[in-house]
Amino acid sequence: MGSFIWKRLLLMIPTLLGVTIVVFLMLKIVPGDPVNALVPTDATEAEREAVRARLGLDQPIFVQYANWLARVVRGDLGDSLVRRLPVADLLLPALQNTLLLAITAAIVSFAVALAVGVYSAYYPKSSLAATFNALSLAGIGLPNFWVALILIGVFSVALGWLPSAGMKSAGGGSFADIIRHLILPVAATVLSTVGVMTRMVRSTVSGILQQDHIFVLRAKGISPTKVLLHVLRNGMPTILNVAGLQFGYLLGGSVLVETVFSWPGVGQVIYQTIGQRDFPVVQAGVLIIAIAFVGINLIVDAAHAALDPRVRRV
Amino acid sequence: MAPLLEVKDLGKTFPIRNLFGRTKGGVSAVDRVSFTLGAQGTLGIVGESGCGKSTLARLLLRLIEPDTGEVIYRGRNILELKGGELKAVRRRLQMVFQNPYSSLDPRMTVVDNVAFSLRANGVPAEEARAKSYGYLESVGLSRTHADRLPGSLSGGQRQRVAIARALVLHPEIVIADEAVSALDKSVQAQVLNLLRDLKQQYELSLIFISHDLHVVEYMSDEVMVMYLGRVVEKGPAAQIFARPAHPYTRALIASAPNMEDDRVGSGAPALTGELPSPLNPPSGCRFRTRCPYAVERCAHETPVLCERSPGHEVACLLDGQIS
Amino acid sequence: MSTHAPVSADVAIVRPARREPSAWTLALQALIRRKAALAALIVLLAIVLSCLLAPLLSPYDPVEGQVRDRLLPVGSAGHWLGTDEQGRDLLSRMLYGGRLSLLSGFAPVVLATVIGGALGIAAGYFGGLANTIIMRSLDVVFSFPAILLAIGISAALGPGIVNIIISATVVFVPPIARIAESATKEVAKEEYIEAAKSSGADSGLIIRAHVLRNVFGKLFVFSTSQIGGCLVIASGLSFLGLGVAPPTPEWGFMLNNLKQLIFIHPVVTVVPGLFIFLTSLSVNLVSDALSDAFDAKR
Repeated sequence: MGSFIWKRLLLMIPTLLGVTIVVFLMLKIVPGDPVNALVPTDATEAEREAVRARLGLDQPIFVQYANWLARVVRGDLGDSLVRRLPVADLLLPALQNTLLLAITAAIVSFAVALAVGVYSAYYPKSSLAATFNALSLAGIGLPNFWVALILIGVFSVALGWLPSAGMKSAGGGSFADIIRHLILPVAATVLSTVGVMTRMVRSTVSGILQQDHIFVLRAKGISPTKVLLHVLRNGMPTILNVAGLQFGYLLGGSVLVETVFSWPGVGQVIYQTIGQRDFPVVQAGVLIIAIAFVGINLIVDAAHAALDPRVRRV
Repeated sequence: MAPLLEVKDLGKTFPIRNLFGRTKGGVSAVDRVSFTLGAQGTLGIVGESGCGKSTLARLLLRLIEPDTGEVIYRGRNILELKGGELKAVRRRLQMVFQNPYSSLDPRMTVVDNVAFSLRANGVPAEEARAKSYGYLESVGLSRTHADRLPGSLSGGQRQRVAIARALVLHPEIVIADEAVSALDKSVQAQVLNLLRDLKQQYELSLIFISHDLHVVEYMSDEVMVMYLGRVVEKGPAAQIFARPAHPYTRALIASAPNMEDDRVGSGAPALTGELPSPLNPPSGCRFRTRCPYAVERCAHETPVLCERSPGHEVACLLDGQIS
Repeated sequence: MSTHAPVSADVAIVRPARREPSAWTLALQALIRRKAALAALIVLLAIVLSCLLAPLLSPYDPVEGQVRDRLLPVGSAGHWLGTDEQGRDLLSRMLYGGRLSLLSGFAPVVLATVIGGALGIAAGYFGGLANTIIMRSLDVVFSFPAILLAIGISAALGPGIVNIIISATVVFVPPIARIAESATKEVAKEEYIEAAKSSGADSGLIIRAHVLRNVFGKLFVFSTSQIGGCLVIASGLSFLGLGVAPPTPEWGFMLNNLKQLIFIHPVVTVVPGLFIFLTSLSVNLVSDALSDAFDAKR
């Protein structure tokens, strides 16, 4: 198991490098001369050259990339163009909030998908299963930012039960307060991926239930609970796989949900800074979330390998 | 008269790669195979599955590149040809593949499947189709058949299509790689007879590969017996079947069903044991692990083909000493 | 040339002569059989057609509004879908906006199919180093969450529908290329490809004549299944302000606009999102049915 993790870590490195290259390229395709943002319009050519040299923009692109990468690895993500603060200072607290939202949504989504999926697999003809099937099909096309708006409309405006913005109330910040603020954003984020997850769980569990060895277990009279556990154990690798992929959508989707709810996460920061054309922040935000995604995938793979010995013998 | 095709010491080993691409050893699929094919002759190549026959066929056509050896067609080594010259020679050696269900493009009509070979050689589409209809007729398939998709044809019909496709480029040599093995017995006979007629009509030379001895005997003038990538015996068909010299040949003939009683080898021991893994073939003579006559020497010396009577060669260290 | 007469055993298998239905006909027939998909197809066509015919169908100018008519509810006289905060008729804005939204939902998938298809087929057919380079590079792009990548690229390129289309294309190239690559690898193993090579055909001809038609089905079905998601992503980008600029209407952007109105006028904010949802759902249903039809045919 240990060597498996090492191998995966090693394989992760080229992927991470690739991610940094893509983000770096994103920075480079911004139209217009970046120097313009930093010098007054009546600056002389010499002054421009000086700024260019200071920023290292006169170097060949590989050198620029290497320098940038070296800084990133040290935690220096550049400075915000607008606020003149290190980007890292802006993003790291935001990252915590995003992860709070995303991981909660992931857990809820997973739990619901598991419950509904298993139920639908065991009782495929029930009306409940049919309803869920229809709902999950619908859920696939649902834009989560629209769902977010509707939830606000219903639960905040019309019913007034739940807050519509932010993570804490003014003067609040207690655990219960945060949970209250968390409910709607999580619901919005979950609704877009729970459909896919449910269908995946249902088809995986259905497939396993039809296999001979499950039939044997049931024939032997083993309690249904134990059979269920067995089935789940069998199906977990596939389900985890999809869960890992879905987490990517969740992370991406949380960006949109955060903007609707003004949830102070990386997505919200990105949204604000897009409007301000503050690119270092935007790209750093993208980079951080991408790295988080790659990291989560590693954890999911490790869990997959822990559950399914066949994977370890790569 | 110089032979039409001369193969010398053809060899191919497939490397086994581990996770990082490093070679961990290899499968010796074809090892030092040599033979000749005369004009309008039929060479039958026979052996069990895994003996390298199909690989050999693909080496001859350069669908797989050989590691060693020469393939001399009309005096020129085709392994050294490139580009336009190779393309020109490719027309002369054509193949009928084994699996009638995957050797035709399922999404192309039968006639287009056949015409493709012509189009690949610069023939305009209309002319290619016209010619293809003609060849399909000569293998017994009407235009109605020709305009359909392969999916609605039977296995026997598809093999006819494959034969038509092989003929359309006017080859001199046609390699039939287990061409009838996937067909029912009754259909086999028809296709075999078709092949014989076409061979005469178009003055072809045939290389007929099969694991089925009856079929090989029926079709061939000369026979070559292969085992685990090597040639163990070759010679005129009549001789091989009447007086098989190699223990493997004898065992093959003995284990083939419905042989007449007056054959040599009906008293010979049948084939026992399992085919050794091609990853790790036995040292010396590769057949020794299943050979009832094997001695100590067989593990240390590699037998080479020796002529025991004109045209009849055997690769056995004990040749002449086995009754 | 002598004719080899067909033997009776073969003749018995031949069915009566009749032109075989094309793959499209069969797919359409299967589609018609499934009512949900049929309904979805009708809805989809209705939406697409009305947006295409926006200049004919739209009752008002989508950009000009009468401020005294602002914030009329759905079902008002003369304004079936109500008006926004500047008095612009929502129905007209939806019809015109739909053109841009639909474009940004379909165009990237079409482009990604062409580009991703080409890359995937090349990687699958030629294998070896080409395959490794192409697929590993695409894997890197794949390891970004889709929306995030689109946001990053869009933000860098600047606002505008064209840039949204570009970033969405980049997002969809890797999954489509993967499907193309695996389908091509399967086809490349078939004996008819070997036969084609042995007749001297060069790779270009083999790919054009054999590979494309055998890979097209899977590719087409997969690509159509991505359209719904692309629509959602593109409107999401618009929603964030990376698409059109006001006053141009576009569904995603309109949702952003109307976000402020949710406290005053909740119902009106539902409409653009509803249409994004309906279109996406219909496309998914149709695509599902097509994919089933294709599998069943085998």
